[in-house]
Amino acid sequence: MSAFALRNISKSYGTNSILNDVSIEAEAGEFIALVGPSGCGKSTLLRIAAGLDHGDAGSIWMGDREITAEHPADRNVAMVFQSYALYPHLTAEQNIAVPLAMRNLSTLQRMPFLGRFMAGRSTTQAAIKQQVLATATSLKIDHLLDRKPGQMSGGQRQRVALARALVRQPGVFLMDEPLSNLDANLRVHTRAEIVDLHRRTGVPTIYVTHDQSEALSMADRVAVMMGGRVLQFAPPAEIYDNPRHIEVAKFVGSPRINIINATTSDDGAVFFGGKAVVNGVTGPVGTLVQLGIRPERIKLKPHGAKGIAATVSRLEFLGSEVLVTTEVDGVEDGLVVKAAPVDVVHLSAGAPVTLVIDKDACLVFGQDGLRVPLRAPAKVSVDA
Amino acid sequence: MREIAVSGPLPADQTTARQAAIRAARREERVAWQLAAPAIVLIIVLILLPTLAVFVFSLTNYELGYDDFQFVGLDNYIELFGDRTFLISLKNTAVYTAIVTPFSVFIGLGVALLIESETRGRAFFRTVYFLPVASLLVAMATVFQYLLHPTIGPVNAMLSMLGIAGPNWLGSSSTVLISLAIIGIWQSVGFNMVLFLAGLTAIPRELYAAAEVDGAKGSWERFRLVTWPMLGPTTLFVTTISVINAVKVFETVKTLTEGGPNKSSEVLLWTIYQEGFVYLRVGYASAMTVIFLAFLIVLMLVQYRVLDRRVHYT
Repeated sequence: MSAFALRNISKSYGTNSILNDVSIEAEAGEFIALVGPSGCGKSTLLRIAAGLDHGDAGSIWMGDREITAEHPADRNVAMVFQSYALYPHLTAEQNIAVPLAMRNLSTLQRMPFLGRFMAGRSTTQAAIKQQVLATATSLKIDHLLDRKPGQMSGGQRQRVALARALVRQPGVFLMDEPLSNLDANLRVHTRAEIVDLHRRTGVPTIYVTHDQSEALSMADRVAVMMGGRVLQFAPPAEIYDNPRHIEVAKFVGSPRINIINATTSDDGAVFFGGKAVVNGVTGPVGTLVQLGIRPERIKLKPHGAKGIAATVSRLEFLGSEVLVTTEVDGVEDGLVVKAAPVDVVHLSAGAPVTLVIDKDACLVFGQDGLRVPLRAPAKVSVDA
Repeated sequence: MREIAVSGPLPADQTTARQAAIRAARREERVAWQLAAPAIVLIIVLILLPTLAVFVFSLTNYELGYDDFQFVGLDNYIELFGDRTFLISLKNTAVYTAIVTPFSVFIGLGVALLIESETRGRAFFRTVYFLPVASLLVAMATVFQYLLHPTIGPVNAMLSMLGIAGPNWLGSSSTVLISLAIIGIWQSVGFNMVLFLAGLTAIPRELYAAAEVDGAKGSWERFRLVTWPMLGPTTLFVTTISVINAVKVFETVKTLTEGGPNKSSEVLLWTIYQEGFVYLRVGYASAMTVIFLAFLIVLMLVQYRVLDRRVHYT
């Protein structure tokens, strides 16, 4: 049984379908990333999970308890918002205490003046203060407790928002692009911190992002969403190496995967640059297919070597590697190759080179975008 | 700055650069004064000079129609505080303001919240509630005179159906101020509502979402946690405007009661009007005006000093 599950969720506004039969589940202690371009429905799905929005169909489960109809306050979910959504009139300490005060104090005890005279308030309040301090200390923001959000930096506000979500041991953590308002350096740093935090608390987490590198680096499993559907829900390595849909292949990985249009020949072979780069494509001869090749799976060889003739059109130096954009006959956008800096010192724009595609590097997609299965090669492979 | 930065280390070059920088700064200052001049002139001519003139008049015994006047120092002010009519009008204005301000602010807020939460007919209700603001109070006064008429008025007719003998709303000294206050509230609720609506739209939706997830289930709890504190700056502004408008009450008094009966609706502006335009005692009326202005300025300063720091968070 999964710790938190969204089952067959659909949602549309009028005729505009936002979510189409989406199912996501998180096992206990699992970190799930929902990734996709903006407008793919991932934030709507998260709002439905929190109870801030309601789907037209489907159910939401916390363990074996169905919470589809429950109010957000009763679901025991915690959410971190993109804008942090801290209460600007409260100090960090008061902000973090809100979820506890809302749960542990009665309405009367929370009254502005009357509350002070209600029985049991001071004991509860002391316990809340203790818990807030403990959470703040674990996030290293105990020195900021007296400050209001307006007096804090973006990163500090982000931690307060995390502390507010964390303070009451929720059943599931929902995070809506919590890093997108931070600058690039802080983002990479906070990424690691959130993963650490997740590991320490063990609370299942659903993390929405539009940044595929964030999703791949943080999550145990990644759900790639496009146009209101989950195209693939798998561990990061599987998503990257074995995408089930061409949109997944294109969305994941930077620089983007190279796409080549081709047709199948006899026996399911696909020829590119005078060489069969793939064998065993199922379907009739002459089928139009798209080949996807990751930039790091193409090797750069000196001009005249055996392979595909190409011309360098652009070099982008990235420090540990160099992106080489090449012009190749029959490929509209050219091919991008990821190379080591030492291999390209002699190269400049306009230089002729030879490209060699790694064995088994080609992912074959049909015209409908789905992966085309390959017939097992003649020699028995290990993973068959 | 850039000229200085790129010029070489030679001293001669630096002086040229320095001179250029000084010239540019002077030019900028000249342009700034030229651009600000029209506004400065208008402020002096239209606001500061008239205020100063009122203050100077208040130190004289000037009466409209007489050629001659003497400076009498603070005599006008000393007379003011022994003047029973002025003291009554001060008290009445304070009572009127104390009734109108809280009611018009909180009813305005309530109406704004109701309209904000309603999706249908929003524009309709907004327009209806704003009508009293746009209507002419002098013209509407005749309607109120009819409504509140002791014998033929619909208000008392309805009360008598319930077996209650309605008072002489505008004619009795015990109810006249309350009647005027009700008209004042009727007129200002719409204006406050529009200001609150603007304030409400500025509250980030995510705060409400956060409040819901944090456990604020009821609308009252969300109001306490998000709406009320976030409306702080708006409420401060609305309260200030409401106080100023209430202190300036005049039209209804002039058209409906003329300060009566027995001075029980005598308010500041009415007293100033009587002294200045009926008895033509410009010097004395000016002294009242100075007191009136001082009163407003002190009120605004207090409000901003006390409340401003508590309602602005960033």
